[in-house]
Amino acid sequence: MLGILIVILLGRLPLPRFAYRLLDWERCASPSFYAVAFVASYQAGTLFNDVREIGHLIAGLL
Amino acid sequence: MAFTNNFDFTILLFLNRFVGKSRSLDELVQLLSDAFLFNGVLLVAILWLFWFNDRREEARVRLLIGGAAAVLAGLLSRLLQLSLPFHVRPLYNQALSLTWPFGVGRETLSHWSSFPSDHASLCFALATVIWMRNRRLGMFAFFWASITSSARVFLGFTIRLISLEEPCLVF
Repeated sequence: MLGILIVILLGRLPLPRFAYRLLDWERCASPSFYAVAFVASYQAGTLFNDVREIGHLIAGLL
Repeated sequence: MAFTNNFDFTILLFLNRFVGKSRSLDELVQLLSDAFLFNGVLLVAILWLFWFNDRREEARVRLLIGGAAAVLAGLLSRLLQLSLPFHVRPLYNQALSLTWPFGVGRETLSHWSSFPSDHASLCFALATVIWMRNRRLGMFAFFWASITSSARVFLGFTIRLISLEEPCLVF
């Protein structure tokens, strides 16, 4: 329910300017944009499993 | 709250009646629950379909914001897990004495709090992004997120498919 609400709420806000800058980045330097987009979508696709493991490891070390 | 708890336990105990009966069924449900291909990968692939299908600026910006919102939802759920009192997973709750599924290790997810479910938050958030763009694919995404989240209820990793009190903890 939390996920649904956050997406709907943020979707109703006016579109922020920085998001258009990301599109400029995609147009001007698409190789680097898609490299970063690949990593981001890979993490989202794997439900941030690696990030969670790394965070858990760091928390264990601290 | 007591009503939802009773309702959740009824569903959990009903599903648990089918656990441990067939190794194939337990392993199939575990695959649905754990395989990234059936969870985030499928939903993220649909977002990429939208990205390349509609090159209008506004459509792409909305997709980027939706993706970021989904990630934020997953992150918030995780932070809530860490800040709220530890919720033991139903599988490890001695009082419920659930049947252990085939193929699930004795320590699996034992150190992770079960509430709120970051897995469900992220999957349902991605499904909402898809639904806001395309109702048919969105319905499929919600159906699929429900199936994979139900798999986790079946396995005893979480108690409920969708929680109404999660947003109350944030807003």
